[in-house]
Amino acid sequence: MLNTNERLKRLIYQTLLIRRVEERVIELYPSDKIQSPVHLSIGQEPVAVGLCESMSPKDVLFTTYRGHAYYIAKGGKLPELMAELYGRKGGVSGGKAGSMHLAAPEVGMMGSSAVVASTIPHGVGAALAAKLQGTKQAVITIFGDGAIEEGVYHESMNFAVLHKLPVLFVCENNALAVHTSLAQRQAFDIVQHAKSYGINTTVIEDGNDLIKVGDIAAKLLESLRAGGGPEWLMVKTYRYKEHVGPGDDFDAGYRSRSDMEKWLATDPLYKYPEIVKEMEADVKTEIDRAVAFAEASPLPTRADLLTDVE
Amino acid sequence: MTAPSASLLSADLSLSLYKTLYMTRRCEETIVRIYPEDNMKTPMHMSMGQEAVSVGVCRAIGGNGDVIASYRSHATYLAQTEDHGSFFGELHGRTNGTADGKSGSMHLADIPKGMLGSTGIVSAGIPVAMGAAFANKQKSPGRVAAAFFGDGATDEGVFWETLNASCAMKLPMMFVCEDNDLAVHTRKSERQGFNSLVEVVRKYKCDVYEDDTNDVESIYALTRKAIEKMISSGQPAFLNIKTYRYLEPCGTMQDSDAPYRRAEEDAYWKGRDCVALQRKRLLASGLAEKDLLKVEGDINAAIEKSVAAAKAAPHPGADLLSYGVFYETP
Amino acid sequence: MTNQSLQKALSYREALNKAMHDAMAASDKVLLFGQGVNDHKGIFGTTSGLADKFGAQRLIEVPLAEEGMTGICIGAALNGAYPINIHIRADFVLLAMNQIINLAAKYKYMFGGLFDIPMMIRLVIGRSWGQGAQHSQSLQSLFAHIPGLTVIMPASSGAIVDSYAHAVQKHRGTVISFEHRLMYDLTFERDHEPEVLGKTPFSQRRVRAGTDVTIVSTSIMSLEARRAADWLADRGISCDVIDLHCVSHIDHDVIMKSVGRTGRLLVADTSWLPYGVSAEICRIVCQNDPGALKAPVVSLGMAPAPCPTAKALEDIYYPNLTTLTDSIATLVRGKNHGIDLPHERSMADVYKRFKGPF
Repeated sequence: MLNTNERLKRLIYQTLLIRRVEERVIELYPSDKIQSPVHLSIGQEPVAVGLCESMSPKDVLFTTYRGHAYYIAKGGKLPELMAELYGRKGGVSGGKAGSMHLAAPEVGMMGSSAVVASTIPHGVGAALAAKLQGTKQAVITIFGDGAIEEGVYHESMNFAVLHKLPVLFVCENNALAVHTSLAQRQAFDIVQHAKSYGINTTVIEDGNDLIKVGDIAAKLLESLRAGGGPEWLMVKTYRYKEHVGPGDDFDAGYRSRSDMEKWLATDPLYKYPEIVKEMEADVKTEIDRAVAFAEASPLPTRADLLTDVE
Repeated sequence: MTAPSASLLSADLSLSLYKTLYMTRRCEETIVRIYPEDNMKTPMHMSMGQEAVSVGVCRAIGGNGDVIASYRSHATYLAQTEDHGSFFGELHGRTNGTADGKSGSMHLADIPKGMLGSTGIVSAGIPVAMGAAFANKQKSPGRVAAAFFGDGATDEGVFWETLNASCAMKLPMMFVCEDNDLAVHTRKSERQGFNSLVEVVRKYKCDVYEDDTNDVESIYALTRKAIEKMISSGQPAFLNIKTYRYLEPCGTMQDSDAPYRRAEEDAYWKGRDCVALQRKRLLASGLAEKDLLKVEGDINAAIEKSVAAAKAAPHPGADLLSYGVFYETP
Repeated sequence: MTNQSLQKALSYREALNKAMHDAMAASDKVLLFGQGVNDHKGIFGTTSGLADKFGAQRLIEVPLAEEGMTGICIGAALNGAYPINIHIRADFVLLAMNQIINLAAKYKYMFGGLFDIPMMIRLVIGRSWGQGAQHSQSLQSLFAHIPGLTVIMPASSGAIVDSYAHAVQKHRGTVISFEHRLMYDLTFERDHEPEVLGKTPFSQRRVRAGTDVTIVSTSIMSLEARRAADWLADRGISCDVIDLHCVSHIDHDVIMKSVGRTGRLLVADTSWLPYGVSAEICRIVCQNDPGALKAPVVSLGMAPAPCPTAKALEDIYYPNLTTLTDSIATLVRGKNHGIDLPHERSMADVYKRFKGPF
């Protein structure tokens, strides 16, 4: 068992790694070496890190097009991620996936989709298979608050509750579906709504609290493995960058910089500057290696175009 | 037979509701009788047992609204249009039908009368009704739209999408759930994880109404209340009306012996049959049985005329096959 | 290759039940999903008795939630199951297009081969007797258009038993099978099973060998083509009838060799002609050898309209044996072919009465 400080450090290291990877993406973006739309997680990394802390590689996770953080937190390899963003043969999917479809099945990262809400039922199906086959796996399916408006969210929740499946629904609530705020789109309270399905609900107000997210996720996942039926968790968080792309968009009129500043106050990377400072060099080395791997990796060729179609 | 409460409505309205109830029932009894003649070559999803929902709701709308039915559309179509002539024409596949025989039983429509259609795809009409509510809000204040659907349709995501959007947009949209507990042969308990649909719906910004009376007057009064509130509040209404399907899911036969049926449930609902209930109420209110028999006899005769007219009407010709595929014939 | 699994004459319905049974017996990973899989009707009898044998937990009665359930099947497939998702009308699958086209068809390629989605979707073409616009569609070309999907249209009991076993036990991707409701009660004799023209049960099949005209057909049109060919054989016209079976993966050689021999081509599909099977077969011929044809191609399919309910219109909406036979005779002998034609106005009526054996 790690002592609290070691545990915090480990979680901060992962958070920092994700942050710096994405900042490197921003840095590289103007060079056009990464020709794939990027939905950056910056600001939301602690959620991914906390949720994945107590997942074993056999526990599976499905997520959204904002997937870099989950790929890294779940244990996906960094050089393969970078090569994938570069569209190289050495990428985790040989360059066919790009930023929006990251996966690493060997560590239970089962994919991410560019279509809002479309991976929610996958988590439920994986949980069904886990239950019927007695694998004791726990499943997490991640979605944003925008996905709740999709009918398939209802269909998935209903089925999971009906069959008491070992799936944790996680709503990453950044209160923005692209650029529209919740009040314009939803005629209900998300948590009360989930509760009315007869599912246990938990809300984490501060998604920046790594330890809290980690502790709650551990408890919920254990309950799933013990056959306790589905769980539902909302983690409030904040996206610092624009919906898609490497820039800021506080001048776009739909949100203000002061919103972000509230979140910066609890952002672990600002809260623990000393710890972060100690880690910067190691993180940089790791990222440099990954970038070097990507740069050196060959481009896929015509011979790769039609492999793995079926 | 459950004893009906005394009517709170006018005698005329009470009788009028009965006439429509009786007419829908009689039309379907006629279908059961003549279906084996094999002149109506279309699958039948019969409303029998559920008529009070359509009759009560459509009368409460009173022509000032648009409705969309599920594929179990007979009662809704007949209640909204009172037109069994086109109905039998369509079921017979003839040119005096609602769509020259192209629709059959599952796609009955009469746009001028606010019957915007019915669909063979579970839940597919719900967002279409929402579109009508949207248009009504813009163009015809006070006019509402209603979607009829079974509890099975609430399994579909599109029901929830429409509910959310209607509430967010504050539309004069009435969701009418004909809750017979069955999707084909599957009960809600095998399909729905939550305990109560109504409790989930209550989480949305709409007004929720429930009825478990099978009494057309009660359903009528409840719907009036819902419409008045909807117009004043600008919030959609959700009506969950418990009901019971007498016949097999598709077809004109009884299936009381099928494993999914429950004898006590069957007896309970047939003991509160909506047509018999209203008839009893009228008799209790002092209407003479012979007068009622006359009313029923007139309806029977009119239906027989419609059937005869349908059988005599021309079949659609080849020229109609490609008519209406595009807006203009290229 | 021959049909190994079929020991005796089976109806299409019995073959489907056997195929479901064999799949569940072969692997406990196989799960059945569908509305009515476990009720007293058992998807027209094709899943009846399976719950008693394999346990009700493997036959999952589903809410009416096509998109969600398809996604759930994909998730289950990703986690080691083999889902068979059944829709009693092919039309209902349109509610699940996002999961099928955006996810199932792409999951392997989009992730660079990291995953397979082993899964089968059974769709019943509801055509018969007034089913109308939303209960009768033949949507094969919609799916066959999408890389990553395998689309089959079994036209005999043997095709079902062999192809479903292959799909479940050997094939690693998603298979969409269109079953035709009008064939459910037909019995197919083992000895009359078409010859399989390739290495796997998904391969094209030769229903009848001939020299005057090539008929490429799908699903129940392969039965109609055989009936027309039998009629014409007695009147001096020899038809080479190829049942396409797997419409997404067509062996060009099979088509070209036949057309090379006959020089004439008629395509008889169960669906609309534009952008469909007929268009695809024409593409194959034109790209491989446009000079192979001695006459313009003839295509038969549904009229370009939604399906009307009225029997008077439904009967002219679909081709019938008379129009098919006439079209073949005209293609081979010209307009004044002088061949007497069978008189049959309604294909649906014939198949409702006729039970086989075929």
